[in-house]
Amino acid sequence: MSVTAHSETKVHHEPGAPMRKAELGILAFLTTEAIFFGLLILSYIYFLVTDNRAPNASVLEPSFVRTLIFSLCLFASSGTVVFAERALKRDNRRGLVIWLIVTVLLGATFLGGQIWEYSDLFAESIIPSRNTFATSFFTMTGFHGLHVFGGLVMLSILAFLAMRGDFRGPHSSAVTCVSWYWHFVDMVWVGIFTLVYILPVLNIL
Amino acid sequence: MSDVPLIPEIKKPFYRLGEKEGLMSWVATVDHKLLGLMYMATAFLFFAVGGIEAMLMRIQLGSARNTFLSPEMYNQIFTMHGTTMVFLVVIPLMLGSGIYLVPLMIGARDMAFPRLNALGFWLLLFGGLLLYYSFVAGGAPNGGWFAYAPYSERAFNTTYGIDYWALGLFVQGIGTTLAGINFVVTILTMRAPGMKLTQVPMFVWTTFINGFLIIGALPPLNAALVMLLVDRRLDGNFFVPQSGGSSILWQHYFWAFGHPEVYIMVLPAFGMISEILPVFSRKPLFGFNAIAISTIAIAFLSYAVYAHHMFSVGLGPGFEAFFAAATALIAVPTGIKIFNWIFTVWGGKLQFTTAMLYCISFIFMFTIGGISGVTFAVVPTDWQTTDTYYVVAHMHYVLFGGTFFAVLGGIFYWFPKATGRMLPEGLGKIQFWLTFIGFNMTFFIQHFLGLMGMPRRVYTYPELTNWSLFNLISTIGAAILGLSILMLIIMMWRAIKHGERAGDDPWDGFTLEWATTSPPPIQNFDIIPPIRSRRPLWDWKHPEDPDWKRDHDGKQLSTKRSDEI
Amino acid sequence: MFEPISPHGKDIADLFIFILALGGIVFALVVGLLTYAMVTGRRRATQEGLPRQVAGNTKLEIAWTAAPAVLLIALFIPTIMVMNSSDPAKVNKDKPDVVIIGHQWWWEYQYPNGGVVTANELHLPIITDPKSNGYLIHLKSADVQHDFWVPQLGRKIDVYPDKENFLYLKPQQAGTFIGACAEYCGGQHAWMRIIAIVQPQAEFDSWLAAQRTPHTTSAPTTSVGAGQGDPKRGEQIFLNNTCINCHAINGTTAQSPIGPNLTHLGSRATLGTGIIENNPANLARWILNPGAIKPGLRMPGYQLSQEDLRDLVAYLEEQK
Repeated sequence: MSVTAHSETKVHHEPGAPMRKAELGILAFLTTEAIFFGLLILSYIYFLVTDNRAPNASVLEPSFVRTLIFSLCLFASSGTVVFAERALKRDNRRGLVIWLIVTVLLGATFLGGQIWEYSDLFAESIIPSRNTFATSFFTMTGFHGLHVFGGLVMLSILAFLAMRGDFRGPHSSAVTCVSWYWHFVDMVWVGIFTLVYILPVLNIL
Repeated sequence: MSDVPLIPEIKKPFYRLGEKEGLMSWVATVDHKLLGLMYMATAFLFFAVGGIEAMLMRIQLGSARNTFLSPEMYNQIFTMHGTTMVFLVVIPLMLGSGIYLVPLMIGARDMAFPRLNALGFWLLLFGGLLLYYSFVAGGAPNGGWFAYAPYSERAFNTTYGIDYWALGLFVQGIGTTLAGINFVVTILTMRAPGMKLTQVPMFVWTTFINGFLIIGALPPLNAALVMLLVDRRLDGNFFVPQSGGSSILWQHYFWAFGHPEVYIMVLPAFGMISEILPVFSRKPLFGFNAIAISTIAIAFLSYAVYAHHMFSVGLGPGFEAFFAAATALIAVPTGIKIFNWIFTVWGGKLQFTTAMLYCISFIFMFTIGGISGVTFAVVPTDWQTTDTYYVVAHMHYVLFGGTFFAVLGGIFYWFPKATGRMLPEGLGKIQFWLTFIGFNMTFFIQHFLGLMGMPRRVYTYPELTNWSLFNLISTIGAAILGLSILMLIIMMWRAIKHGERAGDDPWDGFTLEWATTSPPPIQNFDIIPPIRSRRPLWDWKHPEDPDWKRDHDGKQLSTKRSDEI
Repeated sequence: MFEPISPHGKDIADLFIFILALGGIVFALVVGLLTYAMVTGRRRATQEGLPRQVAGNTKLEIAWTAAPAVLLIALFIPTIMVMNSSDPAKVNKDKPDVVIIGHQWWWEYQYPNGGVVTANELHLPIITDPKSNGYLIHLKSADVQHDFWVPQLGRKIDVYPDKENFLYLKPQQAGTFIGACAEYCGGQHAWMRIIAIVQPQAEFDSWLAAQRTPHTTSAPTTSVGAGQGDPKRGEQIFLNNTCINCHAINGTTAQSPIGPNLTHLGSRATLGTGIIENNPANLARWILNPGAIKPGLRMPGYQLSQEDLRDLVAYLEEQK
C-alpha cells in the first residue's frame, strides 16, 4: 500500500561502472559500423575469387613500403590516443592536448598517404569504373578514409575543447567514445591492409 | 488506494503552431513523447500516401487490360507503395510507439539519448521527403522495393528515380539505426529503481530485441545501397554482370537486411498484443518467459533464413535445404507465441473493446499468414508460389493483418494515454468490422489468384477464367479498407478535440504508463509505484494478491478473490 | 498449378495439398481454442470477482514447443524428397535440348539439336519414357533478371545474365499451357507471357522440321488483287528498312539476334509475347505503332504507306 516517491527516476552509476550510457551507445554504433565494413570487405573478397582480372591488387605492390609507412602512422595513432586518455586520467590537461594533436597529425599523415596513392592510381587510369577490383577497392578504402576524416574532425574538436579547459579527469565519456571509435577505424585498416596489401605481397592471395 | 488522482484539465499532447515557442517547439524538441507522436503522425501521413498508391493499383487491376495507369506509372507506384509502407509507415510506427511508450513503461524520464532521438526522427522524415522528391525530379523509382540488379543499374534505368530511392533509404536507414541503438541503451540503463531486466513489460522486451535486430540488419542495407550508388554514379561494377559484377550479390545483401526487417516490422507488434490481451482478459500474460525467449530465438533465426527469398535463384539443393530447415524452425517460436496468447485469453474475464477485437483478430490473421508462410519454407512449393499473388496475400496477412492490426489495437488502447481523450468505442467497433471485412476481402482471394498463375508486379493481365472477377473482388475490398482507414483518421482527428475525457487509467492497466497522468507531464512521473513484479500497477491496486507472491508458473495461487474493479 | 501435366508438377501439387492439410489442422486448432476461450470469457465477464491469475504452465509450454517441432520434421522429409524428384540433378549440361533466353520483354527459344531459333512459343514433345528426366532446358538472360514459370509444368526458375540455370521439363499431356515471367523485369513485365505448346513426338518433329526450312518467298499465286499483299515486294520492304537491324529471317540477309526471330512468324498464335492475337490486321497495327500496344518497348513505329504495309504483312504472315 505504500507509495515510494522518486524525484529522480534515472539509475545512477558510479563513474567506472559497467553500464554507462555513452559507452554502450558507441559500442552499439561500432557494431553497426563493423557489419557495414565487413560487408564491403566481403564484396572485395567475393570479386577477388570470382573476377580477379587485371588490374588487381598487384598494382599496389610497387608502392608497398610507402603504404606500410603510412599505415604504421595510423597504427601508431591508436597508441597516442591511449596516451591522451592516460593523461586525462592523471588530470594532466597539457598532456591530453598534446597527445590529441599528435594523434590528429598521425591520422592526417595517413590520409595524405591515401590521397597520394589514389592520385597515382588515377594516373594509371585505375578508377572505380575500371573493373570489379577497382570498384570494390575504392569503395572499401574510400569509406575507410571518410571514417578516418570523421575521426580527425572529432579528435580536433576534443583537442580544441581540451585547450579551452574542458574535460576534468579521471574520466570523460566523450574522450573514451572517440578513442574507441579511433581504435575501431584502426582495426578496420588492419583488416584491409592485411587483405589488400600484405597477403598479395607474401603471395598468399 | 485504487483511486488514481485525476487532473482537472487535459494537457495538450502536443503544441499547436504559434503556441509556446511556436514552430520551434516542434523542431527543437527532444522530448520522447512529442517525438513519438511526430513519428506516428509522419507514419500516418505516409500511410495515407501509400494507401492512395495502393488504391490506384487496385483500380488499375480491377479488370483485365485496364488502361487507367500506364505501365511506367504503375511500376513507379508499386515501387513507391512497397517502399513507403515498409520504410516510412511500418518502421516509423514501430519506432514511434517504442519511443513514446518505452520510457513511460520503464519509469524513465526520457530516452537515453534525447538529442539522438530527435536526429533519428528528422533523418527519417527527410529521407522520406528525399524519396518523394523523385516524383518531381524526373520520375519515381521503378525497380520495386527490392530494386533487383541489374534492372536497377543505370544501363536499364536512366532516370534519377533509383538514386533518390537509394539516398532516401540510406538517410532513413541511419535514422532507424540510431533509434535502435537508443532503444537498447535506454532499456539497459534507464529502468526505474527495482525493475529488473526480466521484469520489463513485454512491449519493452520486444522493442529491446528489436533494437538488436536493427543494429544487425540495417548495416547490410546501407552497404548494399552505398554499393548501388557507387555503381550508378561512379560507374562502378558491383552488380553489373556485363563487366564482371554479380546481380546475385545484391540479392544476398538485400535479403540479409530484408528478412530480419520482416521481424523488425513485427516484433513490437507482438509486444503490443502481449500488453493489450492481458489487460482486457484481467489476467497476467501467459508464459512471459516463453514469449521472451522465443523472441530472442526469432531474432537469431531471422538472420539465418534470409535466403528463402532466393529459392527460385537456383542456388543448389544443399544451400536450399539449409535455409528451408532454418525457415521452418522459425515456425516453432512463432507457434509458442500464438498458443501463449490464446492461453492468456483462456479463463479470463474478457472485455471486448475495440482494442481487444483488433488483438484477437490479429491472432487469426497472423495464423493464416504464418500457415501460408510455411509454403515458402518448403522449397518445392516455394518454387511454385514465390513471386505470385500468393506471396502478396501472405505478406499482407503478416504485415497488415498482423502488424497493422496490432498497431490499430495499440492506437485504440494508448490513444487515451497520449491525448487524454477516448476514441469513441461504438464507432470504433464499426471501424473494426469495416477494416476486418475490407482486409479479408482484398487479400484472401489473392491466394487463389497466385495459385492460378498470376505473377506479382504486373500492371495488367490477359482475360483468363475468373481473373477479372477475383481481381474486382479484391479491388472492392480495398475500397472498403480505404474507407475504414479514412474513418479512423477522422475519428482520431475529432477525438483529439472533442473526445470523452479518459482519466489517467481508463482500462485499469497493469504497467507503469497508466500510473501517470494522461497525457503525461513533461517529466513523465511525479511518483512511481514500487516495482516488485511485471505488473507494478496490479500489485499496487491489489495489495492482497500481488504478483510477487506467486511464482512464474502461477502456482501457489492465492485462491482468495478480491472485490471486482 | 493444381492441374499438373508433368510428374515434377504433380509432386509439387501433392506436397502443397499435404501442407495445406497440416496447416488447416493447425488453423482449426487455433480457431477452436480461441473461440472457446472467447465464448467462456465473455460469459465469465458478467460474473463477480477476478479470474485466477495464472501466469504460465511449463508442461504446456513444452508441449507446444515439441508438437510443432515434430510437425516440421514431418514436413521437412517430404520437402527434401520432392526437391529431388521435382527438380532432378542435371546431367550433360553442355547438351541442352532447348536454350531459353529471356529478353526485355520476350522469350527466345533455341533448339540446338534441330538448328531452330524461334520466339515466344515454346514447343515441347510429350515425354513418356519413365527413365528420362525430360527435356533439359538451359536458361539465360540477355539483359536483366527474368523468371521462367509455367505452373502446370513444374517449378519456376530465375533467368540471369550472369548465372546459367538448368531445368527439366517433362510434359505428358498435349495442349497449350500458359505461363509468365515471374521476376519483375521492367516496364512490360506483365506482357512477357509464356506459351508452351505440348505435342505428340511425331507432331513435334514435323513442327521442328518445318521451322528449320528457310523462308521461301512465293510470288503471288494469282494476280495481285485488292486487299492482297505481294510477299515479294514485302520482302524488299523488310530488307530495305531498319527491320533487319534487330530481326532475323532465315534464308535472307537479315540475321540480327536483337529482336525476336521472325522466320515462320505466321505459325505463331500471338504477337508481342501474348499481348494480341496474330492476324494481318493486328500485325499491321503493330508495325505502324507498337508503342501504342506495348508501351515502353524498344521497337519503333514505321510510317509505311498502305500498300507497303499490306505487302510487308503478307510477307511476314506467309510462312506458316
